[in-house]
Amino acid sequence: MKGFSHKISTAGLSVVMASTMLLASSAFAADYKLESVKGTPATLDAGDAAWAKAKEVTVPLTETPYKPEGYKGMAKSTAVVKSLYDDKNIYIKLQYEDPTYSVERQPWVKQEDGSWKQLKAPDQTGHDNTYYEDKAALFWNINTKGFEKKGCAIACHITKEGMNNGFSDTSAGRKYTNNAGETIDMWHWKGVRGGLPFNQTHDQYVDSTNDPKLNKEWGRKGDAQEKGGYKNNINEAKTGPAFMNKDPKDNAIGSIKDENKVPFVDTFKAGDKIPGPIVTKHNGSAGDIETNAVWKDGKWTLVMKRALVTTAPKDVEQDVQFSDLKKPYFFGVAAFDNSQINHVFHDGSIELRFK
Amino acid sequence: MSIQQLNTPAKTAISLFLLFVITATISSVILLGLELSGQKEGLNIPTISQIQNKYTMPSIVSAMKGSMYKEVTDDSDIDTVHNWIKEGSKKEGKLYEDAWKIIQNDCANCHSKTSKMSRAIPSMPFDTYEQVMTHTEAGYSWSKMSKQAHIHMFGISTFLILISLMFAYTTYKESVRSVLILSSFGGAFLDIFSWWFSKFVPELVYLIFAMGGLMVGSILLMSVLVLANIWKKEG
Repeated sequence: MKGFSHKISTAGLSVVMASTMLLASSAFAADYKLESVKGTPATLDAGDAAWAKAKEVTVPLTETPYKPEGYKGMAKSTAVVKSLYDDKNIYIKLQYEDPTYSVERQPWVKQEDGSWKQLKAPDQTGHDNTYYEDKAALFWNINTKGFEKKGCAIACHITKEGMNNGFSDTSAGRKYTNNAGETIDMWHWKGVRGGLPFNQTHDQYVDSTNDPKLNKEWGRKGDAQEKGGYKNNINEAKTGPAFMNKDPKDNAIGSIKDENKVPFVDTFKAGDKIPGPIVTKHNGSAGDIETNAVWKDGKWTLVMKRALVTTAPKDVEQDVQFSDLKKPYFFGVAAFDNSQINHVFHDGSIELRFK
Repeated sequence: MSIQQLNTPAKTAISLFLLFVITATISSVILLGLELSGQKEGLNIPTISQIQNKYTMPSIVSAMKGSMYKEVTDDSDIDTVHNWIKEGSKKEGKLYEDAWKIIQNDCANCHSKTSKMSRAIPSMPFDTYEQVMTHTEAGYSWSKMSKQAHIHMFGISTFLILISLMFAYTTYKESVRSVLILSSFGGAFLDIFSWWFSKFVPELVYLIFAMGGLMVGSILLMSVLVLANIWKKEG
């Protein structure tokens, strides 16, 4: 009987130890890792056959920098990222859940009394999360200490009790790096202001500017360009739109391309809308990233293409350079659901390696 | 009288209780490991060094080395903050400026009264020098110790007496029963005792490791042995 009891005891302990070891095996889960494999898509269509061989990494986007009052957008999402590369370019395919297709960025709406009103609904920080656009961003480390560990959060500086770095500030937070000379490459896809009109992602970067007197966007800056961007479509009297699309069908993308604009003539009825931004394609380094974007079934799918190495004079500090294909490159992903600055992001960084 | 003489419903209740205890004990070790290692998942058996950080260092430094490690930009930042505290936590000088910058960059985005980040901890703000100073005392404070000690001692003794009584009525040798019962209570007492005094006698962290292990081991072993014994037919 003693022998039987001993066996049972041993078996019981074994179960406990086995459970313990099973738990231990998941103790050090790997960071997010993405392999970029060799391949050239024929087009930037997400369904291009070249993507079949690319491995994907799934990244939960569960963090937000603040809670806008009355925000109805998503508080979390999931990003699925793939990558290809060839001798000249890197291709990134980013797909993420976003249940709503948002392309009405502060449009003008004709009122019953014949006047025009530009729709805006600023939150407690002065940013719009109601009449805005969908956006996404990739943050690529260039030389910022701590990025590999903390990801995008390394450049995130939340405003506390109305102050940011000693300056009075109403925004929820600002982007800037912690040390002079540190920069991060920001691939900022803005649906209405360049993404859908020009198949383009705005190539920007973040540096250590932490004084709004030096730059009103603090550390967030656009890459060098001669032209490109957007302006508010408003007349001199600020009572209505200044321009409209030559072809009303173009209103579908929520903006007016500069080359398509015609002076505003009011032949509209109450409830009709005119896009808020007039947009111009980025040239120069700011226009480095070609992007095809499609929203379907509650998901955005973006396919981005950029030269492995960019060569404009300031690109070394403004662009990540994929010049050594044996080196790991670290980046982060964020998605903005109809939101000016609120976004969902992930903990840590994603490591990209070329295979 | 032995535990084997109980009726089936009583044996069932005891068995289920013990399974709860085993699960809870393993869970507590997992939780401790996560807090001390800064990992997000899995079982991480605490190391002496991690225990030393928790019980002998200022809580802000201990957190930067443990549960908050992933938020720290660079390992050297932990030394900077620790050196500032060791030098008296003065509100002036380069050491203060460096430490303050690190705390604001690495901690205060979430540790702020007004933070709305998804992981904000407004109840533990680092917005002011005075607020940070409350986390610079080495080891457990009298207040924290009294709180931790009474919660743990009331809780642990309550289920230990139940397990011990069950184990006392098994059919194992009296010496085995006595040793394991003493080990569990003794381990728990010396473990908690060492939490407090290790800030005065750093070597006591070894006692925390050993006695914590002894307590957990005794509880698990007694639970498993009772389970093995209770369903055995009387000899």
